[in-house]
Amino acid sequence: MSYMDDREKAKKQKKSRVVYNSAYMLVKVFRYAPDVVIFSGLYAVARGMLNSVSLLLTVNLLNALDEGKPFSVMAGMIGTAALAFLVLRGFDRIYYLYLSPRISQRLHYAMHKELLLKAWKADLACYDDPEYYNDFVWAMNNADGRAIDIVNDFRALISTFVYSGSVFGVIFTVSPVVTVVLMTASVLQLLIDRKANKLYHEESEKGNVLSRKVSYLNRVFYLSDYAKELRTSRVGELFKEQYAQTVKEQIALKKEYSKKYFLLETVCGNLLVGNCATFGTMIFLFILLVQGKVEIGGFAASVTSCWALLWLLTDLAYTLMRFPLHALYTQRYIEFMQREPKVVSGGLPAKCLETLTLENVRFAYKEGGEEILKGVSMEIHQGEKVAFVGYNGAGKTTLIKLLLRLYDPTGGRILYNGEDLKNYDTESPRARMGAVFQDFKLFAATIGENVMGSTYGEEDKEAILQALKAVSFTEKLATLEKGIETPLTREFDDGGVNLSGGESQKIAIARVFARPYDLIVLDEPSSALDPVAEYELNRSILEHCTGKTVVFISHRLSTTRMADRIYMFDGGKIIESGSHEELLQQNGKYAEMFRMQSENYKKGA
Amino acid sequence: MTRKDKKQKKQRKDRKKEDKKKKESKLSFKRVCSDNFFALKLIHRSVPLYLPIWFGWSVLGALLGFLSNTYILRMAVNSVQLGKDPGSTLLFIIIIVVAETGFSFATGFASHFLIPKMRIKIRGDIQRRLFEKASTVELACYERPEFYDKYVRAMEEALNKVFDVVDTVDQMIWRVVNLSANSLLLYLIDPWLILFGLIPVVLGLLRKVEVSEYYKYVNGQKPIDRKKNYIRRTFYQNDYAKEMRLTSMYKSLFEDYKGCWKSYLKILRRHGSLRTLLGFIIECGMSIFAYLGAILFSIYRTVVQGTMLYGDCVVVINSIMSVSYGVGSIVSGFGSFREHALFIENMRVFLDYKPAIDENEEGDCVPKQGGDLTFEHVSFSYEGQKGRAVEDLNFTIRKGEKIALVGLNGSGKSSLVKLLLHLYEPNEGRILLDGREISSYNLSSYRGLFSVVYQDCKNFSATVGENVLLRRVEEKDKELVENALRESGGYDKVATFEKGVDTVLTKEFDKNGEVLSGGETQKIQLARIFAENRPIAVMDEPSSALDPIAEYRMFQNMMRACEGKTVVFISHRLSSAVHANRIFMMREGRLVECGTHEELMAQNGHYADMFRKQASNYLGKE
Repeated sequence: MSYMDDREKAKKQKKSRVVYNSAYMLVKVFRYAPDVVIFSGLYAVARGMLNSVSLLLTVNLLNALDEGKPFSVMAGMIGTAALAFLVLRGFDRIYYLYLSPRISQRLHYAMHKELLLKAWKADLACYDDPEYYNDFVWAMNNADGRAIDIVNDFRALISTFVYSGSVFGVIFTVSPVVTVVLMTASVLQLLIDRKANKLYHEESEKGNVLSRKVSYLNRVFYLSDYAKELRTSRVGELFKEQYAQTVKEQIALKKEYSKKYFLLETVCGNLLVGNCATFGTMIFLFILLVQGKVEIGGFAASVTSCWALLWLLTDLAYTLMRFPLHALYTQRYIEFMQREPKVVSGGLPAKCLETLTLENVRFAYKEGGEEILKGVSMEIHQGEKVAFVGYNGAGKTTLIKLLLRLYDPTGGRILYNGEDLKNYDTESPRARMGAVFQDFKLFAATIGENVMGSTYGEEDKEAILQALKAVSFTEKLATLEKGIETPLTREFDDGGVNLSGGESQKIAIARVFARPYDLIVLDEPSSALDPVAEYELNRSILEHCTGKTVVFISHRLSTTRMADRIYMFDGGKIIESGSHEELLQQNGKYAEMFRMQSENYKKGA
Repeated sequence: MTRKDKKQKKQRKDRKKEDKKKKESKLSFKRVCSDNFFALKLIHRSVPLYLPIWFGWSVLGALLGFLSNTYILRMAVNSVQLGKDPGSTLLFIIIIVVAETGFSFATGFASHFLIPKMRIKIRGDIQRRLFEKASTVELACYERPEFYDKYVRAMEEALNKVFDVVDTVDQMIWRVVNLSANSLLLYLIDPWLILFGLIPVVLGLLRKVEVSEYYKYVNGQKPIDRKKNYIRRTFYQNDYAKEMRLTSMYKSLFEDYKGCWKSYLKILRRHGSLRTLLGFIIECGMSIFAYLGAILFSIYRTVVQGTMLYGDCVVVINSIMSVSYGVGSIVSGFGSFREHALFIENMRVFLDYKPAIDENEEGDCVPKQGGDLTFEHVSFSYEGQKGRAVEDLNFTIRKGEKIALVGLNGSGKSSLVKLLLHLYEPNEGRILLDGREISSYNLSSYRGLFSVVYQDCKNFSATVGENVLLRRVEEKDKELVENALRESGGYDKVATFEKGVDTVLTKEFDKNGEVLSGGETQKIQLARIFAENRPIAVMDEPSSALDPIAEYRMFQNMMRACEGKTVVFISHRLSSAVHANRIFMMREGRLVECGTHEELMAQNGHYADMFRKQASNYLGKE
């Protein structure tokens, strides 16, 4: 999803939608932080007036000169201007240096309070839908910035109107003909800018692939991910060649558009409209001046503001052209805020887990998409150790996510103590289940907080230490000066510690030991560990989980021996189930897989 | 300690010092100039005409702008007041109009036809040099965060700054020309007027305080922003999504986010108030004393003393501001040079960086068939880390041997491999190929001996074939690619793609690109070993993402395909080590045991212990 696609979409919106959405955001901003809108409005008027003061002063002073008024009158005018400057410039500075940063930050925080909560409540499924996820990321990072942009553009519009109003006013009193000419020129200029803008979009759209290519190549050469391969293979040559090709294509694309731009912007815009209007006005007014039909003040002011007017209009055109994009993003924001999570609370609080029953559970990540689970049934009783095995993509991890109610099944039911999981509230069953995922993530917080999954008090310390002991992290912990208070990662703290993959995994596993969970879910808990650590961990898990219900996934079948019951998954279904011995006797897929893994160990022993 | 070691140690020390110095002190004025000059030189070398055209234009443009905006008006008004013949004034106006029109025409022509092409070319040339450099600096640079953040990651930004230098010079030229022309005119009208233009210089002193407050404000915000960004990421990134829902971490993070607002307010109050006051004084001083003061003065001259003409008055009204702000804008222009210099300095240091591992282009070529690899007392530690990654390694890998490297996490296996590939230079000891130190060989020919599969591998956004061969794929290469994929077990998947080996991987550029799973990715990478006929294959956990059956097949194929080749592989699963001719057991950076599987089992040491632990689960206790 790129910026250019957005531009395309923005153009296709209806005008009414553009107006509505922009206004919507303005109102929204007003609700979050009314001072943002009020002060911006005031500032806009002040800014417009500030420019007008200079213009009016010029006209009046020069006219007074021409009319031979006394010095005191003119000094009075200058005094008035000084007063106006004091007030307006003063406000300008205060707004710009103090108020504006403050209120935009205020808006930022007000919006994010809502956004963060919204994000937290969003279904995990949102992360799987790339389109929605993009909106999601966008909203989190840019929504407030966009809101500020919209306010600022409104602000710019107002000050432009105020200022151009006074400019046209002055010119009109001098010569209505010139006013008409300049207005026509302005309209033409706006049209030309619009057309040029279209051309520009067209070009960047065509160049989009090329710039993406360049940024990819940048990543290849600059990111550490590829550094080793660049050095040990010749792939660098391949990419340098591709880069040269990309540059050539970029030049060719530029060439295609040069002529169009030249004709439109230079010939039509600058020469025909810009120069004709301004210089024409100047010569025309000069003749009038010589003939005594206009006053010096009016002449000087009109000529100087001619140029300013054209710049003003170009600005105006660009400001206006930004609104469709604003509207598009506002739309995205509206939709994001309106989306309600599908995994919703059913209200019941969960009691201690006794049985988990799966009845013909089906699941697809996308509606109508391929089913990852095609009818899975099983029953897990309190205290059982259950292992899920099978090839990559057989649906094991997905099933675990359903058990934790990160998703709701698309077919069938999951019963918690005989009651449909959907009838419970979302948080209380989750609070009874501890899980470690293969792609676990640690937070930039202290070790203790990471283990507890929250801030903790003095009374929790023992539990944390015990949990860390269970995953044999004690040795490493002893080397850390601050013990469990040691912050992880150097994100915020130079004294932070970066743990290795295996050590991080241990911390993640410790989570499930730190609290008295009813159900422990382990998704390939030992993948980053070496064999000895794996062995010790498995033993330790066994020790700590007596009496607890455990569901675990493992690639290494060695671990599955300790399970009471093994479910072999294939293509979203359970194809075999039973204890290790039973399955070996069945001599099916599990047995085949196990033999293959153990063959070399047998040979070696 | 050998001479080389000393040299290296010194280099390292110097580097550290350099980095530190840069952090602490700002660039000297001289350095700022030379950095900006460096940027201009880069451009000049690529397209010599670019700068002359650009800067010549600025001078001309500024002069014409002055004539058509200010000078004409003065002439027109004065000529009317003095009752001169309007014809000659009109003629002058028309001449300037024609000149201005011609100029706009030419500017349009240049800016649409010449400049864009030149820019792309310049950009391309510099970018290529940077790419070149990025692929030759030693790997250790990527692990030094200061180096990496500063030089490598910031490169794209630095590249833009090169053009910003031109823009700034251009603006400066415009400003200087405009300021001189306007000042000269004001001086000619009445020398006293220059005094009003000097008011901003006095106010400029206040501006300095304001700017330093501004930097304090901005710097104060940085840690808050970092915190905020991190918290936001935890809320929306997929990586954290599950943990955020299953733990109560979100509550404290949410509170932290609110806390950021308070910290921000504190910063704003501390550094914003004085700044606002100063800003107020400066702006009002400018507009009231400089601008209105000058106007009052000229009106006085005109009306009371009669020494000034109306047109001159108009000039004062129009130009006094550009003179007052002109001085300031030139000063602040130097500020932007300083800012550019910070980036360009990085680029310059990067381009001038001498890699610690020399390309050694004049070095000898390696023997084509490879040879025995020997480590003699090799020790190595990563920069900034206590303790050694490997210590006193002594061994020889004979040509054609299959070596398994085993050991716990962090025992130095990957470091050994990286030293072998000459991605790092050992701190002590020597690595020899066929009895000669590897640094005496041409670096790329030495690395050309190896096919490597890394643990943390990623596919490139290119076709399957290109990913396997790592070069452009010709029609005749296709069979080679397909065979290699068959060997690695990746062909089944590739065969299902419509375009086969021409299928683009990843969706980066191609909506129809294929995204592969971890296991499939690894198979593609493994195919490289089969496709490139290089004498030594190195694999870092080649089977970690594969399921057991795929692993089994892969190992069988590998052993067959690598007959006669030297193979070094790291594996966690000891079952695969059984195949090796010799097993190197690593422990805390040292090579503690070495021999065939049977020998090591007989020794009953660490390896045997580890093997039994893993095997016990498979073999059962019966």
